[in-house]
Amino acid sequence: MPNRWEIFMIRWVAIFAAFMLASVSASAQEGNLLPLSGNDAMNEMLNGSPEIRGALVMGLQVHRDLPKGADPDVRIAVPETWAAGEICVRVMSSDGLYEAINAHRVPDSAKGGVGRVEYATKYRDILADKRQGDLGIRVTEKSCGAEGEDETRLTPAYWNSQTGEAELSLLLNTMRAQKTYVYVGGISGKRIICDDTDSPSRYAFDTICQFDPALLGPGETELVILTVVDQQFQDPVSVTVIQPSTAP
Amino acid sequence: MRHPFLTFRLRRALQIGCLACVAGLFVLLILAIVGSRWISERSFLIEARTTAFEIAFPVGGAVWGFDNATICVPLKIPSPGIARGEGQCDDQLYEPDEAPKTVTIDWKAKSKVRVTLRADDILEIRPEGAGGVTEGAEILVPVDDWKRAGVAAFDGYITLGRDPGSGEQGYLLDGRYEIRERFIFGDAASSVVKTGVFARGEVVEVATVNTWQFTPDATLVRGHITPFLSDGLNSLMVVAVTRAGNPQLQVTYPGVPEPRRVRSTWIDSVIANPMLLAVALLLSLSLSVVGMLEKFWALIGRAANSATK
Repeated sequence: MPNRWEIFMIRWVAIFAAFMLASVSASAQEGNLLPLSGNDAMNEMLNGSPEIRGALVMGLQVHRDLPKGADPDVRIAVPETWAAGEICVRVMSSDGLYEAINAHRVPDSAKGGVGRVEYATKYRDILADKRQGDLGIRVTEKSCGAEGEDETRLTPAYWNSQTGEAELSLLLNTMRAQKTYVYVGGISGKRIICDDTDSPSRYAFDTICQFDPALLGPGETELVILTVVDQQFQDPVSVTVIQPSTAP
Repeated sequence: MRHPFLTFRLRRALQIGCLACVAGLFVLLILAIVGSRWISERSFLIEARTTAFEIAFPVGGAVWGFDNATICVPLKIPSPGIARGEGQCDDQLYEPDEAPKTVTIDWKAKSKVRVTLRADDILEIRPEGAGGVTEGAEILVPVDDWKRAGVAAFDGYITLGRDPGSGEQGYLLDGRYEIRERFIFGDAASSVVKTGVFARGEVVEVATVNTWQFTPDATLVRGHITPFLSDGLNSLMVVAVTRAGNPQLQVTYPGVPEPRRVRSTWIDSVIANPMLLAVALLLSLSLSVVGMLEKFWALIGRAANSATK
């Protein structure tokens, strides 16, 4: 029978071993991450009045709520075609009050893979309150606001989540369309029916379309967004989601 | 020596009488204030111009009829890419529309409706659980045909306006409310204890105040909707009165997470009530009379004392 002292020692050794194992596995995971070098920390703005953008797509991400008191863990599956270039990460809250933006450099030799965005936030409490549909993260190629920045070519972001962990949400500013559909993989692809977001303040975007990330597949996938206004289909808007050719 | 004794007795009697009067008035005032808060009943009168509202009908009975209505029945699966057709409803989304016809909507118990007056002056009615129309159908009525239909009456829970995000066609334009209170003592007619206005874009709902008092469902409103046609912007005029009880208005302004709650306080009731004002006036008058009498008797007493010395 081990005495109390031995039990105490065994417990501590076990805790220490578990801690070491966790940190080793974490660093191994970190080691696989692409180094995305930002110009600075995220440029965060807390606006006095809502910022309203004209763009249709305001976010494409897998969302998991941020634990209280933590910095967001934002990962991006960077396609290899974006190597040696810049990417723009924009985060916008549904109420239009919180906005964060930064450009990041993708290493020249990147073969496509998951990278992590440096995101030391000044607004942990505000971000911890954001639920699914309250926050949109949009990752596009080229530097933010640069010439040729194409808002219709984007890659999913992973907000406090791992790749393939949960449903992807596409956040849209449909200008209060009556209904919204997204066809994944072109107009003949899988039809997704979108919903109004649950957010109490639907300013920057108002609609959420959730689908299985497996529908996207590697490489490029076309999403056709169709909105209904006054009992009529509006002109379709096409966006392209680009993922690494090897599934992240 | 008889004189001062009589004076003393008379003084005592008068003092007690006056104090009893004042105390009675005071008790009456307190009772009136308490009564006005917890015994008397209030109701809201709401008058608003809007281009969107929603009603939930807890009980059936209301019937709305429209001439020249187009009924759009959505396809189970939309077929984008096919010709959209000539009708008002897109053939890619709806079954081909029939010729406009007269439609009668029977608002059964637990049915709901969402109404928007579109910017192109077409009234869009989206019933849920109603009789007389296919479930899921959307009814379109040109505003000129709607004028002929007259008043649309309702008895239900109402929400006026919609969160006015960019592109929203349905929102509250303006409006006002009155809180009417029927006072238990005195006049049976109700008096207006508070009034106010709604700003454009607000969303207005009726809620109840949680009190220990048993109240009937005061969030239920009875009202009617009529066309409000103007050169610039046509709208729907909604006039509604809540059930008597303890209702409050919940007014949400866009971007402000907590709704503004509108209700009357006891001060509003006191200020608006003429009888309470009269009692308060009488009370202060009698207090000053008592004070004056005190002084008067003191003077007389002093004079009598100095005369006897």
